Amino acid sequence: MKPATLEFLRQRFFAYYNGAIPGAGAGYSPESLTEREWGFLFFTENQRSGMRRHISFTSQDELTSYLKSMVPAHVYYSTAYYTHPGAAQMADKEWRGADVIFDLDADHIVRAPYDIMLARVKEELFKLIDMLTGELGFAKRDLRINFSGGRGYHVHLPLLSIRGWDTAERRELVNYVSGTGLSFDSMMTPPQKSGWKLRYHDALEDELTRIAGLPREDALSYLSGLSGISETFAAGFLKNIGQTQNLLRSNPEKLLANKVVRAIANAENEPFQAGILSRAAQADEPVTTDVKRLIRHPGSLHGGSGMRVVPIPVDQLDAFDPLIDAVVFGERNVSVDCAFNLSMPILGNTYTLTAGRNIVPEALGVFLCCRGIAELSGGT
Amino acid sequence: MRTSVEKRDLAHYPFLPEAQGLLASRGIKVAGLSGSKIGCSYLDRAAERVITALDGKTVYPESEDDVVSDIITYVLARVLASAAKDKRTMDRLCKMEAARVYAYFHAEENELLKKRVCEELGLELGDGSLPVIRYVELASRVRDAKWRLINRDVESGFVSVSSDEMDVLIAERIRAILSSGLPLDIPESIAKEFLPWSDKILSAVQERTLVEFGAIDESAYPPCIQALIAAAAAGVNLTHSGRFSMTAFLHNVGMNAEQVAGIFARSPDYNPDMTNYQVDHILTNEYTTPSCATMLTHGVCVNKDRLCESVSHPLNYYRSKKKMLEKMRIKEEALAKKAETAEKENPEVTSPGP
Repeated sequence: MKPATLEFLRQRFFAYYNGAIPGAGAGYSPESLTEREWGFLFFTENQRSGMRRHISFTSQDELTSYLKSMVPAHVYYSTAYYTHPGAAQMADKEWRGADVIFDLDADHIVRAPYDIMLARVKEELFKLIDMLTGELGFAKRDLRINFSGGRGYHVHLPLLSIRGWDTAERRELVNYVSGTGLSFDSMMTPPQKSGWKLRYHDALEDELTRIAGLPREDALSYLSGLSGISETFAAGFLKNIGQTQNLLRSNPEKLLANKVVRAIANAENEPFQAGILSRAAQADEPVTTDVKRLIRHPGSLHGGSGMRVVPIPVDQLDAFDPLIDAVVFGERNVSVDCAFNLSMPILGNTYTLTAGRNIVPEALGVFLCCRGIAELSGGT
Repeated sequence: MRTSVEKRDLAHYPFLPEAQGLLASRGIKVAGLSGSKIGCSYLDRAAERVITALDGKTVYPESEDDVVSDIITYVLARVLASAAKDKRTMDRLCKMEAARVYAYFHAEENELLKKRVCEELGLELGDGSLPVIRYVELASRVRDAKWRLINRDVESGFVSVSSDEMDVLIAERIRAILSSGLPLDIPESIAKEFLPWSDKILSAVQERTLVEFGAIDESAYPPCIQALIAAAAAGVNLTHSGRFSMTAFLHNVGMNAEQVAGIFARSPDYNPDMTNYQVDHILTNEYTTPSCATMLTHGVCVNKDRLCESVSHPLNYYRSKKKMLEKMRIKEEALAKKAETAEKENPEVTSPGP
C-alpha cells in the first residue's frame, strides 16, 4: 500500500474515532471490560510489524481515548476474562473464563462476489440462531450478534453458566451446530422428529431420491464406487430402493444393517455430506473451541474493509444490510486507481469500475483501499 | 434401611468432609507423617494406591477394619500424585478412585448417605432428561459417538438421557470432581518430606512408559509428525498447533526436554531461549498429543497413509507401527539367520570362490 493511501485511510479512521462521522464512535463495551486483553493492528508501511497486544483498560473512557489518539486499523479484545489481562505472558494472566463464540465466515462457506457471500453467510446465521435458541435452549436476549466488518458474523454467548467451559464442552456446541460427528447408528433410531435426527432423515431421504432418479448406469457406478460396496450389492440395493425409502420413513432402525445406506451416509461421502452441511450452520470450529481468542470489538472499524463491526439486535437482523448499515463513510468523491475491473454494490448503488483511475464515493474508496484493490490516486 | 452415616461408610466416600473430620478428630495431620512408623506405613500404602491406579486397576481394596487407614491413604495418594507433578498419574488415580466411589454409590442402600453424597458432589438425580448445559458438562468427557450432543435427542434446551446412561454420567461426574481438585497445592516442606514416596511413583511411571513405548523409533512416527519434524529441520516456521503437536508427541513417546529442543535446533533460524521456553511450557503442563480429529481441525494432519485410516490418535499410530516394524525386523533377522546358516552349510552356493 502506498504511503498516500495509508495516510488517507488513517485520516478517515481518525475522523471516525473522533466523532466527525455521523453515527460513529466507540460507544460499545464488552461485559467486564477491565478483565479483557486488548490487541491492535495499525496502519503502517511495515507489513511485518505485528499486533500490539497484552493491553488492558480500566474504563470505557480510557479505551475511547486510546482509539481516538492511536487510530488503530483493527481492534480486538479477548473473549477470555483474566485477573491480569495486561500481563505480557499468557500464563501470568490468570484465565477466569471466556465467552462462547461462533464465527461464521464466508471464507469457510462460499467463494463468490462480496455481496453474494454476505447474503449466503446471513442464511447460516439464521440457521445458527434457530439451533441455539430452538434446540439448545439459549435465550435470544443472551445472544450478542455482530457483523464482523469483513465477511461474516460473530455470535457471542457471554453467559456466566458456560464461561468456565473448556475446549471439550465448547466443541460439543460447535459440532452440534455445524453438523460434525453425526453417527449413523444414533441417527437411525426413532423418533426422527426434531433436531439433527430430523435433518439427517431429510438429507438421507433427499439423497435416496437423488439416487433413485439417476440413470441406472450412473446410479450403479456411483454406488459401487462407495467404499466396501460391490457391483452386485449395488444392483441389489438399486432394485429395492423404493422399499428402502419406505423403511426410512416407517422403521429406520431396520436400515442399521444396510451396508449401502451406511456407506451413503458416511461422513466422507460428498453428496450426502453436502446435504448435511446445507442443513447445518457452518461455524468455524477453532474459533469456538479456543478459550483465549481475540475477537473484533463491536463499534470499531475493520481495517481490511473500512466497514464497521456492527452489533445487531436479533429482531433487526432481517433488515440488516451490511453494504448499507455497516458503511460509515459518505458520498464525497475521491479518486482511486483500481487494480482491475470490478462491480460493487454499496450504499444502495452498484458501481462498475474499470482498471485505472475512477472517481468514487468515499465509502467505496475506503473499502477498495482497505481491501488492497485500489490506491488513492490524488486529486478529487 | 439404614439411614445414619457410619464410620465405615466414610471409607467408601473419603472425599466427604465427615471423613476429613474423622482424621482431624484423631489428630492426624499430613505434615510430619514420615516421622512416625505408622505414618511411613500410611505413606507406603498411599504410594501403592497410586501405583495400583497406574496399572489401570479399578478397585483398590478396602481394608478390613482400619477406616482411618483407608481415608488417610486416599488423602495421601492425592498428595503424592500432586507432588509427583505427573498429569497422567493424577488422571489414572482419579479414574480409579471415581470407579471405586461409583461402585459403592451404585450399590448404596443407605438413602440418607446417597443423598448426602449427591449433595456433596452437586448431583441431582434427574428424571430422564438434563438441561443442555448440564449435559454437556457431564458428557463431553465421555468417549463414544453416542454421547456427542449432536447424536442426542435435543429439544428446547433439554437432552434425553436413559437411567443407565445417567449412571455413566454420574460416574463421570465423580471423576471430574475428584480430578478438579488436582493437583493439590503442596507446600515445599511437604514435597521435600514426601520425596522418597513421590519418587517411587515417578519411577513407576517411567517404567510403565518404557514398557508401553519402548526405545524411541523415529521410523514409526506418523506422517503428520514426520512432516512437522522435516519442516522444523528445514527452518519453516511451524504454526502454533504444529509446534505444540510435535513437542507433545515427542515427549509422550519418551523424549526429554533437551532431546525435543534438539529437533528444533536443526532449523537454521533456531532461537534457543524461545524454544526452551515453549518446550518447557508444554512439557511441564504434561500435555498429551492432540487426537487425529484435532490435528485435522488445525491443519496439521497431512500425508495420511493406510495405517492412519485405522487409528484415531497419533500415539496409537506410533504404537501400531512400532509393533509392525518390530515384527518385520524379527522376521528379517530370522531370514538373515537362516541365510547365514545356509551359507555356513553350503559355502559354495552363496559365495562362489574364484
